[in-house]
Amino acid sequence: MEDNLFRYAWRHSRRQQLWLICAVLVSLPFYYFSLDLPKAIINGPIQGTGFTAPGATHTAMQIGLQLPDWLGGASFQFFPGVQLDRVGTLVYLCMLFLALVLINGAFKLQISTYKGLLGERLLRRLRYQLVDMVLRFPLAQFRRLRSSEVATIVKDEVEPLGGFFGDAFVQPLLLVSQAATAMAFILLQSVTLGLVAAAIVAVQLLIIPRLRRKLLVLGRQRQLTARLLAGRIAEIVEGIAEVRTNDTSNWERAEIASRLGRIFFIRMDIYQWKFLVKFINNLLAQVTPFIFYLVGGYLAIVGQVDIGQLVAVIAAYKDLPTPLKELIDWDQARLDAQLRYTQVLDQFSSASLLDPELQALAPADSAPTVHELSAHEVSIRDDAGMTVLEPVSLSLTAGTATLATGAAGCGAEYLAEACARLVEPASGRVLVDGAPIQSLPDSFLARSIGYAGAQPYFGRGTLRHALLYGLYHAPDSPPDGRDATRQRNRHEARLSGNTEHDVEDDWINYTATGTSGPDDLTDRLRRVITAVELEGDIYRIGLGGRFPEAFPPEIEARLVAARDDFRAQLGADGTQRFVEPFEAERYTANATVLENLVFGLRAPDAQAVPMERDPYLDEQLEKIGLRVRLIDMGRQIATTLIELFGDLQPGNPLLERMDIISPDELPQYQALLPRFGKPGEAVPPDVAAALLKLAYAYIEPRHHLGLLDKTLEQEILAARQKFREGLPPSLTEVVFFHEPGRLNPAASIQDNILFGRIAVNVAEAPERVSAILRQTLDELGLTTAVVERGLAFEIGSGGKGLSLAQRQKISLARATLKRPDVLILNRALDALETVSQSAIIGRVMDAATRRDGQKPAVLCVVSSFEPEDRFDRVLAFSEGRLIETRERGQPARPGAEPTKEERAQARAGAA
Amino acid sequence: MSVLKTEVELLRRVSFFAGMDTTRLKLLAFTSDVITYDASQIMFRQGDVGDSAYVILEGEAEARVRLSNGNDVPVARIRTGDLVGEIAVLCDIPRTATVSAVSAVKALRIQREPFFELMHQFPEIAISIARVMAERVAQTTSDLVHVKEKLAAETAR
Repeated sequence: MEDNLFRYAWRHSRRQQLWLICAVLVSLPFYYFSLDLPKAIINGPIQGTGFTAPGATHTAMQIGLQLPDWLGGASFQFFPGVQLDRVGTLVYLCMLFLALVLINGAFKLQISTYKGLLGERLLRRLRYQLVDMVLRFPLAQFRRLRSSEVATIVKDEVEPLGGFFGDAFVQPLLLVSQAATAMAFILLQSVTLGLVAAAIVAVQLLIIPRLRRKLLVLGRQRQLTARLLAGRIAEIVEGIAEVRTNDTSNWERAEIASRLGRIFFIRMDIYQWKFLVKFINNLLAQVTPFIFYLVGGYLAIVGQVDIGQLVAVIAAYKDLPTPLKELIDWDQARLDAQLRYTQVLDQFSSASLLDPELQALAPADSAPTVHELSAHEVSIRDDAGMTVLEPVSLSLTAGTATLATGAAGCGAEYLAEACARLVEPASGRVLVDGAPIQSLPDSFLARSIGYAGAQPYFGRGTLRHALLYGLYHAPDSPPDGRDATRQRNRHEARLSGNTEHDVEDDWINYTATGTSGPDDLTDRLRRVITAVELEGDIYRIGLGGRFPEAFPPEIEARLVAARDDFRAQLGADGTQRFVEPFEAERYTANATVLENLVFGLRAPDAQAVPMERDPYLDEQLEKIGLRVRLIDMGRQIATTLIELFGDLQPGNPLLERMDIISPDELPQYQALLPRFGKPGEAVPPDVAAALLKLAYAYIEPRHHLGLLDKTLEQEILAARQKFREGLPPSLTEVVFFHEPGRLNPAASIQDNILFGRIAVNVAEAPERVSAILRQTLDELGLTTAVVERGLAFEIGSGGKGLSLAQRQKISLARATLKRPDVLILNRALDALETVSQSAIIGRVMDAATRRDGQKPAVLCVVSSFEPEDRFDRVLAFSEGRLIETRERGQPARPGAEPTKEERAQARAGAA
Repeated sequence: MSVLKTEVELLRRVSFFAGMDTTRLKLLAFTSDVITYDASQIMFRQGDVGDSAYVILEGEAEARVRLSNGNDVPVARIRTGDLVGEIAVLCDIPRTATVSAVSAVKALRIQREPFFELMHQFPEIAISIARVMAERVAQTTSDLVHVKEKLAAETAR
């Protein structure tokens, strides 16, 4: 990228900038006329020059051409004009003036809009280029990169550049020409007055920017000292023990005082300069009219200028300071923008970027199949230069499975990373069918290598998106099936130098999965998630979701039937007590207090007040005297939870286990309790709401704090009655009560079929109920719908909504879905215990086939695996070395000190 | 008295947790679940993958081990306040015995994840557990020595 901001802007917006400049130049004559016209108005119709004789008229709207003398001086007249009297001329000239005002305004509007457009395009281009560079950074670079910094640069730091791009060329041109026009105008009226004005302008242009620059320096100093002060204060707070035990508090006082003093003097300097600049500016602006009145007045009296000229000069001078001031502002913006631009470039251009060719878009079925991936004497060093893997060779060929075992950090994981090109070997080479892995395009490697690591990362999106992410290779765009909006988006993207590939297109590489289209893919997806034992998780997530909006009525009927079926099965098993049913007259212990109060749910709606804050509910509780009791209950919950969790550091995973209070809310409750902690005490509405919220979320069997007794349950049931009886119209539409014969659209699928809650503290209840529920849904053919619902689950940024084991399974499913030639599993399921890990990996290996029908080459790194003879070869690693190699059916061979011959042999075998 | 307090009192009696601070015990109790079992219901089976330990709050349970000859042998009686199943939580091995309720049992189920998070957070918990485990190893070793001596004496005879 260009190292100079102006060069960058010029290169990518030359045509638009030229167009802008033309527009500005065209606008100038109109601007000049609008300056000139007042003189004509004052001198002509107002003062009566040329209208001395009664009945005198003036020719207006005459259109003609007068050739200069050196061209023969001929004159052509196209329109002879209209004769107007004095008032007529006044009206005509004023109308002309109004027209000029409108024209100038229109020019300004157009130019500003166009500038905005130009700036935004360039900003879009710059941001896109920055992200493009990030995508092309070598992987090693990312260890030194802080994600938040990159994000801030792309998002915030370049933002002001957008505004500047539009102004970069045209603003100085416009301002200078405006100022020059005004100056020229003044000079034409009177050379003397013009010289005076020019002198003052020169002073302004020379002095003000210098003074301002000094202000900038001071501002930066102030920022720096303030930051240091903040650091020192933090030091005092953190090291207070040292301060007290060493009696250095007085020294600290003096130290802080001296820093505050420094800031004080800097600020004083700033004030002095700031107001000095203001003073000089104002003085220059106001002294000028004084000179104009004095000198201009004198000249008018002497008759060297007429009054009209003088008024016009003063009017023109009024227009001078504004462009000048803006010009000075522009200069400052230029300095700032150039600095910003260079800083951003420094951050990004230090890296040696990958060749864009390596990431070029490739058609779905472009990659040839890989026969062998081999590592030759590969050693790896970490960032600190420590060797984490001693030289080792390895060959992965189609149909063979290799197991690498060892504790975390044994070195095998680095080998796996090197095979997937995630680290660069310090020595040795990794070859793919003889070609160095570094030279291969991403598209080729991504299609032929499936990699699943221990810490997979997921962006925001649905579960389905996360599973299919490995297939978003190239868009399948219908040739002209785009609507107007998409056409427009595409056109605009081209103008900003962005990619023209449309994210809305279908990017999925069906060929890689061996399917023909979306329907086919869903089947395959189902099989893969079943193989990695994710299907149960997704199904459970689906059960917790609600029915999709448009739910076919016949399924609704079947679901209500499912409820009875489920009950029958549950009863038949003699396990009635596993589910606590929803009954209008009974308290459901396994549901929250709020659910018990409402005996139903409010349809979720992001805009609406949540149920727990609804004034109607509050009012009902108040009426029967339950509100105070529930507030007390909330108080007890808050007290207990703060006692248990209050001294944990923010970010501690244990905090998530509070369940009722979310970790971010904890400080709020900690602040609130000392003031409103006394039982029975009246509290302000917001505190009441905060405490009620806790009480509402309470479930006795789950939280076992012993806060609910039979009397309170009875009172809640009474409130339930009241709540339902007086329900206002605003709520009848959105609150759905549990009713035996009807589905509840606001409740989860599971709640709808169970029509009750699992008794969590009865042994085996969750497992048994799930089994029966699954059976019921299977029989009704609804399981697929539930899994689909689960696949639509939003996993949250980084997949926070899922456990590590679930994330690892998704990553594994993703790696196998594309039928890779080489499957690398790098501690891919280490969140599971050995038995489950081995079972899933075994199943995945059984199911995996390549595009050419062969079995893939497999490299699996684990701590331990059972049974190991599932693999053709087992490599044992320890402390960065290969210590033992076992081929299937052959005795173990130590690998720590291979003899020369062996090494040569290995090399020959690998090559 | 709140339910949590009762649970804490019982936890305190477990040698594993004896040295722990009341607040930590409360935290442990809060992050655990109370589960009820019918008489003769199985709490966990030998050979299963285990992810939780149990403190008996009420009732009695029995541990049985299936020998290689297929016979079930009762090995221990587990009473109120006893801890059972902790080995599967501490290390990744299958259950070593089958435990079933003798009477109706109420137990506090401590799951591996919160338990490990607690140990991670409060090393004093880990230390007190390490101490108990070390004592057990010492006991087992001395038992083993005892048995070996006895065996040696018998073969010598």
